[in-house]
Amino acid sequence: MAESVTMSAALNHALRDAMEADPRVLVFGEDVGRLGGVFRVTVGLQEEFGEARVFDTPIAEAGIAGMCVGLAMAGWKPVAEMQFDGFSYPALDQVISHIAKYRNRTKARVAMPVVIRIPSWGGIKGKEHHGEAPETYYVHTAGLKVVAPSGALDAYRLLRAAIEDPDPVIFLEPKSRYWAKESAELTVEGPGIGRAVVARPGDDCTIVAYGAMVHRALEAAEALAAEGVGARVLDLRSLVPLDEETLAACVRETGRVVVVHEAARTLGMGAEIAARVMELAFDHLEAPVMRVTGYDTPYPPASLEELWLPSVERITEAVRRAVSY
Amino acid sequence: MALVEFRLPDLGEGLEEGEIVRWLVAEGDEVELNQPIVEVETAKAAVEIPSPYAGRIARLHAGAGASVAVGAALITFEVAGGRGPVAPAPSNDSASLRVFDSAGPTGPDTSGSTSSVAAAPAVRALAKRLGVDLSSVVGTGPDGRVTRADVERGAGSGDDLERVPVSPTRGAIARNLAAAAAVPQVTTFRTVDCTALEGFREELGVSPLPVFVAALVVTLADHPALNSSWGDDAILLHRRVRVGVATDTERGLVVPVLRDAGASGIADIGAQIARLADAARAGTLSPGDMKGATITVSNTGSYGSEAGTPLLSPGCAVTVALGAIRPRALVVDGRVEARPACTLSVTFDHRLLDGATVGRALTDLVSLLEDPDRLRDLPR
Repeated sequence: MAESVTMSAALNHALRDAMEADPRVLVFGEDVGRLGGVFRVTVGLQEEFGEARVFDTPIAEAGIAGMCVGLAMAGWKPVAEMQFDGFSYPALDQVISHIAKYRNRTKARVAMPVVIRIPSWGGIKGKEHHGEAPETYYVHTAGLKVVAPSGALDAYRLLRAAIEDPDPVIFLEPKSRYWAKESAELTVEGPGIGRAVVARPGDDCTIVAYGAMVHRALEAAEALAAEGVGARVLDLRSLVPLDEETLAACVRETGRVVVVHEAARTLGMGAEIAARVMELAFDHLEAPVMRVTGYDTPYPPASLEELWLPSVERITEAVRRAVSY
Repeated sequence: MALVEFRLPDLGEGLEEGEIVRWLVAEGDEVELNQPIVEVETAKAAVEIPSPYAGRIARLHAGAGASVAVGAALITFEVAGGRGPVAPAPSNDSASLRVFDSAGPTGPDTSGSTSSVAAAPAVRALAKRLGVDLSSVVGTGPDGRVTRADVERGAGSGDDLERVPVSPTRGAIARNLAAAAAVPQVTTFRTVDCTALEGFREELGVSPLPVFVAALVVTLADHPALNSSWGDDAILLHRRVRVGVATDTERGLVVPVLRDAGASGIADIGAQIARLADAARAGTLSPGDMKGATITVSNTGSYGSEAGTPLLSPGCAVTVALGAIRPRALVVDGRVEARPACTLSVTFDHRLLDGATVGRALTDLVSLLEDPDRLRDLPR
């Protein structure tokens, strides 16, 4: 039965269902226990599963990530929360140097079935450290999987898959979509990690996006349809592994690609997508791959946020340039 | 060793060309890196250009006094190993500083590459598929970019080039001729006084061609070497004479074969030629009708040609082109007389035939054509 559900609630369901299914699943982080998380993702879990499986940690992200390493080695399946994207950086050393490398370091004898959830990106008028786009750091680190749902159902499906996954998964949650409702039946069935999905069909240009930008892309596609331009929206969902097959098919079928992300332009996902597109389908390109991204500046103050983030207008303009190239 | 092309670098100040005052090196010279190689004069100054490579001068692309556009090929070097400069250019010379990026977008592209043409990858791929040279297409897109439509137009009816697909007949002709051209062959010419021939064929009510074919067949009986094929390890002498008659059709040249001209009379040969020519023009020849010629005749006179150098047909050692019969000034009994005459152009496979062998046979053939009464005894 389809129900109207927010992404926050869908994630909460995913954690609850995973904990019920597997007693090794542990949930911890700053304010996730008694408070239930600042975005309410862990609400009620401590009451239901007890303080041993759902607990608050000190404000020490390197410690949270380090705890993940030890717990995973001991056979647990830790699901840690970094309260905000900007707070995940103190934990980078543990993530890059240990969580990402442990399987390789031990010649596959010790896996790291760790999930690190990170409320990410902007759009909520946050303060400094509360609107970061951290994906490139993780995508660039071999040994990690990186996923980014765009809506409630996908958040449920991807989080269940991430917890099931034997390898570490960085789970990036678009903050600005926590309270967006989706009418969906929450199920693990459907495309898993490593698969991109076409969120809207179209034959003239492919807009590649993930997270909250999928919805900006959909708005842009709607506006472009009124001009007779068929923009396809490809929701990547999984940044690592990247679904090259679907990406290449979209390029072959539309010949034009616009990549949209909140992260700054330089060495953002757009750079990687552009390179892959050339490697996979160069002869099918009718126009250069275009990027609509955040600017190469620190994340701006709340009052300037909407000028900084890719807007529907910037996306439609890029698609128009690609189509008329 | 590798060949690298050095183009006239941007000499600065927006100049578009330079004049070669003098070369300081010659083709074949070994040069050192930074050795002065050429003096170039622009509208503003004379500049000595140092060599960007160490190596040998393979080619100088322009002579002294010539004007060379910036970006045009100047010198081809032969350098050791792979491409590229063997050392960085000296930094104190503005000319040589720009040497290595002189193939940039401002210079004309003389290497046959189309990288200076603005076109999207998909358009390039389309051009490649359609066999369109991008540099010959006028780009109508933004900034002169070549668009998909431009390439399609270029493939269809371009501005000054129409592309006609090669028909199967044309393709077969091309293949046969290319194969034939590889055979060492020579052409020799004989003039025939056609006074008697014209009277003879008018009496029989035929064109000159059947009479000529009949005479050729009779001649070959005495000179079997001409009715042969090169078989690599043997010369193949054909016991029967099968005359291929080159026939012009709408689809191109085809060569139907008279099966047994040796057993036929002149009228019969004429009828056979007419039948084969009709079938050739109607496109109803069977593949068998075009196979197995042992000697080829081409009636080039039928379209006015007087003499030529026909190519051999596959499997034939001799091809004879029959030129137009027209009044010519011939020397008869020591006096110049206007008489109907024609030229036979005879190409033969020099691998198995020598000029003397062919010459003797042609002497007999010409003598027979000039006295065709001897052909009256042929079977009717």
